[in-house]
Amino acid sequence: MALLSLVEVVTAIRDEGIEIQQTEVEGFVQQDWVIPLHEEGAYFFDEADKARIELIIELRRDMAINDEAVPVILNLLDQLYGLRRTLGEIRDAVRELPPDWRSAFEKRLSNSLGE
Amino acid sequence: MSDLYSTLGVSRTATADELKRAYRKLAKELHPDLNPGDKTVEQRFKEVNQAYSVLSDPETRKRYDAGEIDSSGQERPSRGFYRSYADAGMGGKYHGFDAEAAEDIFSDLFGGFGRGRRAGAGRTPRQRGADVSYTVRIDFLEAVNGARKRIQLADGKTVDVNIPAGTREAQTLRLKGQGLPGLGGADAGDAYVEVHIEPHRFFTRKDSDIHLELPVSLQEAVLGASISVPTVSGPVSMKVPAGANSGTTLRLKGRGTVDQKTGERGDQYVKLKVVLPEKPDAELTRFMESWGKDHAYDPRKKAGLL
Repeated sequence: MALLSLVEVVTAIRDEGIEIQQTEVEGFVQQDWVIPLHEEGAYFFDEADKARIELIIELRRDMAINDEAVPVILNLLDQLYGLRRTLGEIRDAVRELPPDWRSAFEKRLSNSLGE
Repeated sequence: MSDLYSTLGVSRTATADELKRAYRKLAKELHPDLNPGDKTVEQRFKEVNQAYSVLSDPETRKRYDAGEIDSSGQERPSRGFYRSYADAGMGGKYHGFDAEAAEDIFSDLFGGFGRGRRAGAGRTPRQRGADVSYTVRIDFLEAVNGARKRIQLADGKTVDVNIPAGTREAQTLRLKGQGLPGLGGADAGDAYVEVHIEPHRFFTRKDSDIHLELPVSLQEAVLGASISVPTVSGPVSMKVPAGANSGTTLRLKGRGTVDQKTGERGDQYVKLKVVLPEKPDAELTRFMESWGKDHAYDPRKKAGLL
C-alpha cells in the first residue's frame, strides 16, 4: 500500500468528510500520538496512521476529550489492541494443540469464565 | 433509515445544544475504535454520525424538517476504522506485543515469551505440567505465629510447607514446581495448598488483631490489679485499672499477628469479664445487703433496656 505524505493524508481525510487542518496532524506527530515513517525530513503515513488520526480527531471533536486526556485514552487503547493481538496468538496456538489438550484448555477456561 | 431525531434519541424540538450532547454521548458509546470486536456498533455509529451531520447544520435541518431531503441524504464515503488495522496486525508500532509488559502473566508459562519460545519448534511440544491443589488444617497459633508443616502430596512425596505468620483462613499458598511434571522439558506445574485454621480454645482473631475474653475476680475489678494474661506469643503482665467492669476492653499493643499486606503487627484486645466467687460467700452477702441499701443503681436502665 502506498504511503501518504502529510498533504496527501490531510486531503484523504477531508475527502471522507472529516474536517482537519495540517497543523493538527503535525501536532499529533509532535506529541507521538501518531508515529509516521520519518525520512529525509518528510513524514509518510500508512492506512493505520490515517485511521488513527481520524480516531484522534473524533475523540477531540465528537467526544469532547481534551488534549490532556487523549494520550491516556490512546495508551489504554494501544494496550487493549495489544492484548487482543496476544489473545489472537493464543487462540491460534490453542487451535494447534492435540484435541484432548485443547478440550482440557477449553473446559478450564469456560469454568473460570463462568460460562 | 429511520427518523434522524429518533436515531439521536432527541425530540424534534431539540436545541442545537441538546443535539450536540446527545451526539457526544452516543459517539462515546458507539465509536467502533472504542469497541473492538463488536460488529454491531459500526452501523449504528454511521447512522448517528449521519443524523448529526444533517441536523447540526441549521440549513440542512430546516430542509430535512420540511421534507426536502430524506434521512439517507448526504451519504458519506466509507472509511476504514482504526480497529480494522489494529486487529489485522497493522500499527504494531503502537501496540506490538511487549513481552515485558505481559511478564506478570506469562512469566511462568513456557519460561516467558521471547525467551526460548521458538526453541521448541519442531520438537515435542513443550507443555507445562498441570497444577494440583491440596488443603491442610493448621492450629490457630501456627497460623498466627507461622510454622513449617509437612504435607503428603498425591504422588506420595512429602513436602515441607512454610506457613507464614499471619496466614488467613482459606489462604492459598503456592508451592512452585510441586505440581505434575511438564512435557518436552517444560516446567512442572505448581501445587496450591489451601489453609484451614482450627479455632482456638480462647483466642479469636479479626484480621491481624487477637481478641480474648478474660475472667477477673470481683476484687481485681473493683480495686485494680496487675495480672498475667496469655497472648499468642506467651503470657504478659497487664494492669487492670481500679473500677474496671465486665466488657471493659484493654489493648495490648503489638501482641496480635502479622498483617501480610503491611507487615505490621496487630494488637491483642482483652475484654474483661467480672466473675463472682464460685460459692456464695456469707460475708460478701452481708456486705452487699448493707451496701446495696445506700448505693442502688440500675444498669438496665442505663443500657436502655427499660
